[in-house]
Parts: sequence; structure tokens; C-alpha cells
Amino acid sequence: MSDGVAILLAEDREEDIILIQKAFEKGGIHNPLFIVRSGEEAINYLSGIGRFSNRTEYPLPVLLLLDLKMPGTDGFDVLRWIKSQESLNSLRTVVLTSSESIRDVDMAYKLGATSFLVKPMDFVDTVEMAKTMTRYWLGMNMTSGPSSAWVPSKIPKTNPGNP
Amino acid sequence: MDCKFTIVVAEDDANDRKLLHLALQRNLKPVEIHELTDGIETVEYLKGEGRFKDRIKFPLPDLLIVDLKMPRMDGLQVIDWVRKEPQLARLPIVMLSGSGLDQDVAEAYRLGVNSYIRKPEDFNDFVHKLGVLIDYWMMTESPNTDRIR
Repeated sequence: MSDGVAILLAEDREEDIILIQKAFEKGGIHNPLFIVRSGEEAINYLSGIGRFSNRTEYPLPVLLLLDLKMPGTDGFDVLRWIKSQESLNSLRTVVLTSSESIRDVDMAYKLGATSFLVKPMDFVDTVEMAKTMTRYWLGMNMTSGPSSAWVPSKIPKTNPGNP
Repeated sequence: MDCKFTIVVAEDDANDRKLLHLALQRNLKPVEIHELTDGIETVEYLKGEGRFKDRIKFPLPDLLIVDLKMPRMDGLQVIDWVRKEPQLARLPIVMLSGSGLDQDVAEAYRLGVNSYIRKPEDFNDFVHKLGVLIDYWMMTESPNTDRIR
């Protein structure tokens, strides 16, 4: 059963999505994890466009986990867009990517990323990373504005956005 | 070459500084900590001015932790200053404050703080939270700041 504030994951690779879902499960993280598979979909979600206008089904996240390398609108474009939205000032954006390139790290911070994590190679490390990350951002970090705790109208068996 | 994870902490209250020091010692993390007493000293450190000229002894930090209320230059002013400095603009900053007021949190985010943590009142909770804070930020990739190695 999902409860607590929402996390949005923007990731195009199915295997990475499954890895993160399993890591959350193994790490005992029960916050609702919403998934979008492109930069464009991430922007639509955050804007509340189309099906995402239903904020009961698709609440605004407190934390965005963002891959950089996505086809079309990539992670950098999403960061640029978020930076232009005053209403998203307190959204915390953690870049979670395979790239270790210092240029990407610098660019991500320059475009307003809150922090930058390199995806671990193995499952155990991914679980530890997920636990520390959620303990920090959801357990300790203060948000601003009204609470965005999610009260589900129904409990989905699969995550919204999955075909 | 010793490249320890370096944290600069700006805290004006001597008791809070002592507590922070004890909490960091208890955590036994492999970090280098530099403690400063107000915002002006923090800016001097980051600029490498005066006694902070020696970048071997006083390296640029991987993480800056600032209190909100400090004399001469407060935490929000420090954040604002850092974000306008081209070499330092991407430095991760955590505000660690006794204030949990929404307006303070909102303003800190508006100015570009990465994270806002409310200081716990219980010491053991403080030790634990600092441990998580250090674990988290040590896990992240730091942006490239000019480091004299």
C-alpha cells in the first residue's frame, strides 16, 4: 500500500525503472512512485496537462528523480523548464543517471538540479542509495507550501503510466 | 593526495557549534570540517581572503551548511551571494536552522538553497540526522569548483 508524499521518476529505460521499483520495495520505501518515460511526459505531469490534470490521481511530487539521457526532450530540457516555473521552486530534483561526465554534473547543477547521483552498478548498492536518498529528502528535508501527502482514491496494482 | 569530503559550517551560536562538532565527531565520517562563526567569515573563506588564503589548509568545500540567523550577514544573504558568484554558483548548500517557518523555507528555496533541514531539539536525533546528511551528500557527485590540489 502506497502512502506519503509522491515521488516522480522520469526514466526511459524499462530495466532501470524495474530496478528502481525493486530497490524501493526492498528498501521498504512505500511512497507512491509515479513514472514518466520521457522529458515531455515529465513536463506534462508537472504542468498537469491532459490526464495529469487530475491531481488526486497524479499528485505533484515532492521529489523528482530525473534521468538525463532521454530521447527528444532530455533531462537538461526538463531542468531548464523547471527553473522557469516559480511554482516549482520547492520541487527537489535529483538527477539519477549513468553519466559520470563532470560536464553533465556541472551542467545539471547550473540548470538547477538539487543534486546528482550516478546509478550504481548493482542491486544492493541501488537499494542503499534509495534508502539514504529517501531518508534524506522525504524524512528530513523540509518542503515549502501545503503538504502534498497523497490520499489514494483507489490502490493501483501497477503504477500509472504503465501500458 | 588527500581529497577528503570537505564541509564548511557557518553557525554563530557557540553552543550550537559545540553540539554540531560533537555530533560530527560521534558520526566518525571521513570528512574535513571547517567551522565559521558568521556570514561575513563564510564569504571570506569562500573567496580565499585573509587567513583563508591558503587553499591547502582551507580548501573550497564540497558542501556548505549555513544557519539561518547569523549576525552581520545571515544565511539567506550567504546563499544569495554564493549563487551570484560564477565559480561558486553550483556549490551545494544546506540550510540547518531552528526555524521551521514556511516563509523561511520558501525564501531559502527561492534563493537557491539545495536543502533545508530543521535542527532537531534532541541531541541523539541531531547526531542521527547529521549522519544521514553526510551519508547522502558524500554519495552525490559534486560540481567542479576550482580546487587547488
